[in-house]
Amino acid sequence: MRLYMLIDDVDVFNKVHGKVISLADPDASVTCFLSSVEALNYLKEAIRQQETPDFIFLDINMPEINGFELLDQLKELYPAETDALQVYMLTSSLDERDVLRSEGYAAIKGYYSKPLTKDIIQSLIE
Amino acid sequence: MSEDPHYQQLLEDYRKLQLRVTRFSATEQELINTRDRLDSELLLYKRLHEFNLQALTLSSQESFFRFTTEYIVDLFEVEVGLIMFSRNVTGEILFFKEGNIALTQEQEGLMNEWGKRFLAMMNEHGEKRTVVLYNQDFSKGLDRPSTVELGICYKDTDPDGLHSICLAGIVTKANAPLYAIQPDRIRTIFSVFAQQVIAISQNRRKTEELRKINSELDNFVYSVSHDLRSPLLSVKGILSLVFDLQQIEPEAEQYLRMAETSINRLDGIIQEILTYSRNSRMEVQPEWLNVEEMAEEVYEDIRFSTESQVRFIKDIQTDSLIYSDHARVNVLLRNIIGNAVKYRNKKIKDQFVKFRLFSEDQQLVMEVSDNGEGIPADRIDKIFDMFYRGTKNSTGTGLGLYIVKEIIIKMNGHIHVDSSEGEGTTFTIRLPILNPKV
Repeated sequence: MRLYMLIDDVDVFNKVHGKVISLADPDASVTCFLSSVEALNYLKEAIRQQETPDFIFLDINMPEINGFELLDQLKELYPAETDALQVYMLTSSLDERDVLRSEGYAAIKGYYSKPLTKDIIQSLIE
Repeated sequence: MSEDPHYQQLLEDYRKLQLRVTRFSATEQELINTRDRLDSELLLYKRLHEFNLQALTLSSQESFFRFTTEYIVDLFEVEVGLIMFSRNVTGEILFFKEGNIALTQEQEGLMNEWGKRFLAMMNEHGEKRTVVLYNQDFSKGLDRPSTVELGICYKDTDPDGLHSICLAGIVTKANAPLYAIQPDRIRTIFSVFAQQVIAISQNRRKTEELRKINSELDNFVYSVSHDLRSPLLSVKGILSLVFDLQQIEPEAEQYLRMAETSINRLDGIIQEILTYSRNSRMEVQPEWLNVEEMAEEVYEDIRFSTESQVRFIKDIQTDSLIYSDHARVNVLLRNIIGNAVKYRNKKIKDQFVKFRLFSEDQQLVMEVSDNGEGIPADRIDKIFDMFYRGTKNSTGTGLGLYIVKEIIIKMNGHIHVDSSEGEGTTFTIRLPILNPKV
């Protein structure tokens, strides 16, 4: 069983991406979050329980706290554990600055443009 | 006589003074040495009086300069740099402050000979050493210049640091007695200076406003493009799920493919509008980049997305590590190489795109040639027009080459196209070779 975490404030994306993941990976267990703050709390707890997701797909532009802020806040509490996470930015942003900013995060292992495709999931599993 | 406290005090003053004042003449020295009370005391009084008078004038001028400078800084919030040095009568520098100095030739013309010499020294030796050297220059008796020289320059705090203006004024000339300084002259210098500062600070305010508007516009374009794209991409995702279904009616699939094409086209337009807007508002930001690797990556991406068999030929005749604007060069290559692949001649077997890189006449030349469809002669003049699409088979937005042209203009480059229908096209891009600032 592989644990996938989807964090996006747009429900449609979570549904589509969740479906894409389950099509590409029969062993997938997907948890979706519409709120970045709730996702942050979930990750804090997951780190404490040492049960972090295998893959985290994180949107950038979200209300309350954005994707980068989520990682910043998590890292403040759990620096080593946060860096070890498999975070993939999944965004509709075209701004080079977001790509550059991503490079500064050890936790971020990849940067993808929406929508998520089966190919991406398959290459990640491999 | 030697017990006289008054005389002792005077001698002490004299010794202090002697450390700073020019040598006495031989006769004067002899007079002092003979300690003839009356003559020697008179001489010392005279000297002290002169010195005090000079020091007074000096300090008043100095405080005037300091005051004016600080006043201008406070009033206009302009960073004022100074080549400000005042000297005692022996030529020692009493007060010195260096500014950030970068002058155009025209501004240098405002400086006097000594200001220029000082500046040259400072450029060569740095602040501390310059003071030493400058003092040495004096002791060699080189036409003994002023006893007070004050220069002043101010640097506009433009983040680019592009505008630095300097005005250096000389206050006293060689051998002129210090008390001959004309306060009016200083005021004239400073009123000219203040006027320039006012003009510059007004300009700066306008530039800042413009910069603010630009940055707001940038954020606006960014969020609009993001907000427009987001629903499009969700539809794209949904469509990909539909195409993945086991059972889908062929007719329905056909319609949905059409919908997908339209969505991709709309997404392309949004992306290009963003690129266009970026190019027109952002300055060229050069950095070191490997143009050969970049061209190859661009080619690979396009080949992958078009599933084409086009061959990529490289001909690199110069160092492929160039100093240029990464994002812009990338857009140029993406468009030109992209077009070469997109409009390949599907009727022939060996389709190729050739990327040639060389330098010529202080310019970097990137040449992209292909054996593709070619451009009809009557359309070649229009290909760089906004929204112009040269073929009915075009899947593009009609913005690609327009953006290419705009980028070339921004980078002070040149683009040329040669094409014959059915045979192929060659785009030649020339960019000035930039030198990184040391």
